[in-house]
Amino acid sequence: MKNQSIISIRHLRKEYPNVVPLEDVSAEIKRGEVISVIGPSGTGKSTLLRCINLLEAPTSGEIMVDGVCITDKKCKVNLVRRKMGMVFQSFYLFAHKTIIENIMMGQTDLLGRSRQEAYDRGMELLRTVGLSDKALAYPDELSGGQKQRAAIARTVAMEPEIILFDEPTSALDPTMVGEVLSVIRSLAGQGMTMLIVTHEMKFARDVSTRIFYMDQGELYEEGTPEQIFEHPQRERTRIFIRQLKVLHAERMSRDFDFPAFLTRLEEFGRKQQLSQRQIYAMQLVLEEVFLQKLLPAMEQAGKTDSGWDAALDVEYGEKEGYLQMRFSYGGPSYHPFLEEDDLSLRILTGITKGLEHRFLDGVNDLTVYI
Amino acid sequence: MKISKTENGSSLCLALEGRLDTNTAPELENTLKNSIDGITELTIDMQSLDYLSSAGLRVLLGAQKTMNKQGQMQVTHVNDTIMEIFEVTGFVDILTIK
Amino acid sequence: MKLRKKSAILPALLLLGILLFGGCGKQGKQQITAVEQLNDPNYTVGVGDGTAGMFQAEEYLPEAEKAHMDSVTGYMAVSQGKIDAFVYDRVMMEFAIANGLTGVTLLEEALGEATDVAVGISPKTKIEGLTEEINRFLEELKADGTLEDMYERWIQKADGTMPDIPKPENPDCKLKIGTTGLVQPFSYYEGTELTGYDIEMIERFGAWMNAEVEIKTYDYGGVIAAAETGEIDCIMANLNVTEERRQHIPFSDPIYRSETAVMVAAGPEAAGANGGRGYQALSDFAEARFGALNGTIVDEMVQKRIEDATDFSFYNSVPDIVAALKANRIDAAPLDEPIARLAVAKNQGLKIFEEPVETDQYGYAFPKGSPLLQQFNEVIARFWEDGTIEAMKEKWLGADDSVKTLTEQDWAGENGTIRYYHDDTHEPMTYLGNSGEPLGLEIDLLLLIARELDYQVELTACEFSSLIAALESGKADVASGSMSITEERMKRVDFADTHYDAALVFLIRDDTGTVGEKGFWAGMQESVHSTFVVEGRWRLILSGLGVTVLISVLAGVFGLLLGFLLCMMRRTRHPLARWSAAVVVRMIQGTPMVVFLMILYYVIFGKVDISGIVVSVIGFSVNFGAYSSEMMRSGIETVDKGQSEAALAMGYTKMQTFWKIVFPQAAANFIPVLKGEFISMVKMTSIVGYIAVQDLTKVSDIIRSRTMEAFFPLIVTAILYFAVANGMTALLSMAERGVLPKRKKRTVKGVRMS
Repeated sequence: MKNQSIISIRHLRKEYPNVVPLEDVSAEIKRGEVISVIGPSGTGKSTLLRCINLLEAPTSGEIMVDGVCITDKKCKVNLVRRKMGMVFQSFYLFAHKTIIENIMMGQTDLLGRSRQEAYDRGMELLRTVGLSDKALAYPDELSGGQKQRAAIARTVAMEPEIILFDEPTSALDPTMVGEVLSVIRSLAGQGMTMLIVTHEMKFARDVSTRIFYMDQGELYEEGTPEQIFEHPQRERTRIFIRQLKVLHAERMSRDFDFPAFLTRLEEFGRKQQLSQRQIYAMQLVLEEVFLQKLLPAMEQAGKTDSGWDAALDVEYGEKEGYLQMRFSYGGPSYHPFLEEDDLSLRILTGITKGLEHRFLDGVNDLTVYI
Repeated sequence: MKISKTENGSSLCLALEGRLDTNTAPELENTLKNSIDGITELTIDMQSLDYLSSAGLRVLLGAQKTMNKQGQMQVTHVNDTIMEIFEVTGFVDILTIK
Repeated sequence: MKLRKKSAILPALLLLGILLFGGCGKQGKQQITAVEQLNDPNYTVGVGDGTAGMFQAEEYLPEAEKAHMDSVTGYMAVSQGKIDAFVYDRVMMEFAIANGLTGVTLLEEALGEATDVAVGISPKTKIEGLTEEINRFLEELKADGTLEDMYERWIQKADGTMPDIPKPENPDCKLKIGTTGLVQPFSYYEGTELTGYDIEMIERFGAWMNAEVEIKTYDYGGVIAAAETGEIDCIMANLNVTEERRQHIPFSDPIYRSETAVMVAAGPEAAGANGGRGYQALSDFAEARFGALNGTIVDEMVQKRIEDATDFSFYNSVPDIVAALKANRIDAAPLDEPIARLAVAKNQGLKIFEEPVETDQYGYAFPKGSPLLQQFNEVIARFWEDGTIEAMKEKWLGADDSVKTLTEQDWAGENGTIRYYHDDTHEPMTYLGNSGEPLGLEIDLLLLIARELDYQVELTACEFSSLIAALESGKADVASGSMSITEERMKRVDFADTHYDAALVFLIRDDTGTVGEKGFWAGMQESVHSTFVVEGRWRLILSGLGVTVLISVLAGVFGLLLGFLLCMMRRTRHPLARWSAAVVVRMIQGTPMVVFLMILYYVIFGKVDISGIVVSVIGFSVNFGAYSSEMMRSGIETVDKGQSEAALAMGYTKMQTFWKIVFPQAAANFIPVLKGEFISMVKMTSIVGYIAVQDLTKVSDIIRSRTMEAFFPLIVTAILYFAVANGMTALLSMAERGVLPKRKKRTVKGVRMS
């Protein structure tokens, strides 16, 4: 069946002595899909790829490739690998061979093709990636973009079922990123199944059929590009997509070190290069909401032994240029600014863009938009 | 916050330095309570004031109300942001801002 | 431009200064004439390592600085002034001087007491009662005079001919005998053959014991050690018996006594004959030391010409005189010209002084009124003209004894028979050969004359003093024997016209003809000749070269393989393999090659009968292997691991990845370094002489010990090493190009290109 999974990953886990890049990952990848894997650095995206072609050995879990269980000890790894191509961040062309020979090697050694056939296919591929005049050059004579295109040609020559791209443009000069992306794009257009780890958001959005957002060692959220980029469901996805900068405070109560947090707030503002007014506004919000309203309410509740505390998330989205502060606190539903004449409210309303209160699942959510 | 008192007969000038917020407002309130008797002219100089919140506003309102009975009060050298606060809260009409 | 010239002058001056002052050093000390002079810390005395001389120098010259070296180096060092004296066996040093060592002389005084020379015996020999056997053997040789004869032949007469001693057909045991091969006349190389007094003794002993003999060569230090470990059964190498040596090995009964002499640089007087100016005229010979034949009256003849000539020593034979002349015991030997010519032809370093003492003419003597006289004169005249006499001179006065046979009497002799009485002791004119057959120029010439005149000749040998009587009494028709035509004799007999212009000439050393005087190229030619041609020494060089090449190539190949193995071991995950390989490599790298070889040869393989060449190959393979493995490892490490990952990701196995991707690139990295290491190894093989292997360096030593030349053989050796090392590197480079196709190539093999 055409739409069967070509790769099935079940509860993949990878542990190192002092770090666990993959906690528990499960996914299905179908033929013809182009999946971009995005997420913050160091969250196991590359590790995932490298486990799929067993360059890293999974600690536990199961991976099936085209129906073959590759995590099985008896599995002949090198044969399975022939079905999967990999394109690396640092290209890794064979330095002692010319470009065309790089492309021919795998074909003749592993696929048993004749040299002539390998040559012909290789030249054809080089033409499609625009490097036919570099066939007899050595890798060290090529630019980064050219090397990566050659590496892609080398991989395609092996006619794999799926190509894994491990940050293919991360090592490239910005001027050369485009030429490589266009090659990848055309491959996608030809129906090649691909799994691409990338930081190029726009590209991922354009070319993918599905997006995997990985965070903290797991497949945090997945969906179509539209879903993930337009309407990220989960918090961290959102933060990532929007490239939000966040400042967080927890357990804000009577013992909360207010001055210290003020300093943090100020630093956050400076780091994000916020304007003086914005920084002032944040401080105001903190004071008016927390000191003036929430803290007294907390203390009141504390007397009756049903104490609660608050948490604060300051979010700054540079791209969209928005700044918001969201207070989450327990206790009964409580909107601190119900009185119209409330001075605090008047200040806040005047200085900020507005505020909103919600009470959901027993949690109060007061968001101020600056 | 630092409060610098300058008394001149029945004129009192309080120069504020730093932040006038929930924590420091009581300090200003105290100073006013202690010094405001017999003052006919009260000037609050905000040249070195970085920050003002609702707590400060309340203290200023109290001072204004008091001075309305015994003389005049003015607030000087207000920076832009604090000015904005005065504006959006309508305090620009309540206080005499120079 | 000006600046450059100026700055070139300064270093040139510096160099000149160094050369001048360097040369000055020699002349600082006085000429040494007595042994005690050397007992002074300011003097450096060279001693042969491990020889009796060394022990005697320590005992009798305790104050002097000692420098240890082998004999050839010692001789050179004295003649070049690098050391003040060299202490060694007297006989050997006399031979060295006779062989052409210049600029040195031996002090008359001996160092210390004479010591016995005996056969050294291994305490570990497997042959039962070897000591008793040797002693009985020596007894026998002494008793039947063989020993004395050997001494006379080898040492006194300097007759370097090895008699034919048949080897046992069915040997019932095997003897390994150690010798040095570097000391003439006891044990040395003639061409590629070992020969000498001790070698003859070895062969005789072998025959006597009915044993198969294997001769192994070492230097003096090594030969004792070899006996101690039982590697050889005994030592026949002119070994002096000393107390220290006795502590290590037992000795046989003494064979003879030898003296340790002291060689010093020759002062200006002895630097060349006649104060270095050379003899120009007969009068220059006034102070010369003469050597003459017993029973002749040459001393009177000389004194007629040179009044003050009084220093005459008398010798029993011409070879004795020649030996004395060579050994600088006499300066000139008045001899009959033909005899002198023969000596010059047969010996190096001699020449005839141009001015004769007296001229002379030889003639055939006839009874008064002989009818043969006229006929002889006619033929003689003809023979002078047509060069027959010249041809005769060439034949009989040359060095090649093999052509010296009389013309066969194969003509009819219609005219009758001539009875020819001839003397039999006047080589080369009339003498007897080894089997008692008559030989000589005059006899041969007479036969030719007889052929012309068609007479048969009947030869009778006769004492010189009786020749004239034989003619007068009618027993002889003609007589000869280097007989000078004198007035006295003409009263009694008739002489044919002279067939030989003889003279009494001085035979002297040809030491005024130094290389410098002969001119550079002539000297170079001579060096080439003596290093390569004489005694077919080129064969010796070739064999040494072959050994060096063999060891180098085998060690290179095995070393590479071993290196690869060690390298792979260090890259595995198996901790034991990794650790043991690392330890091996560290140990080898930390051990000097010389020490390592000797440990292999004397300790590890000490009890095993193994060839030095095999041990050398093992030793150098291991050494080269250790270094290679490190180079390979670093070469492999520099290949970036990403390429391996890419290959694995494509589906290559680990093996394929290693051989197709990592190794070719690693090789490109380490092959150049390996080549350098290989050249180093080739040069290092020069130490295998320590374990008795005759490689190029050892052969060079051997040749130097014969020719006494420092410059030429060493330069040749260096050139040969250079050629070997570079030749091999060129081969390696070819291999390198095969493994890593040159980057210049821009085609794809086996493919139609578009």
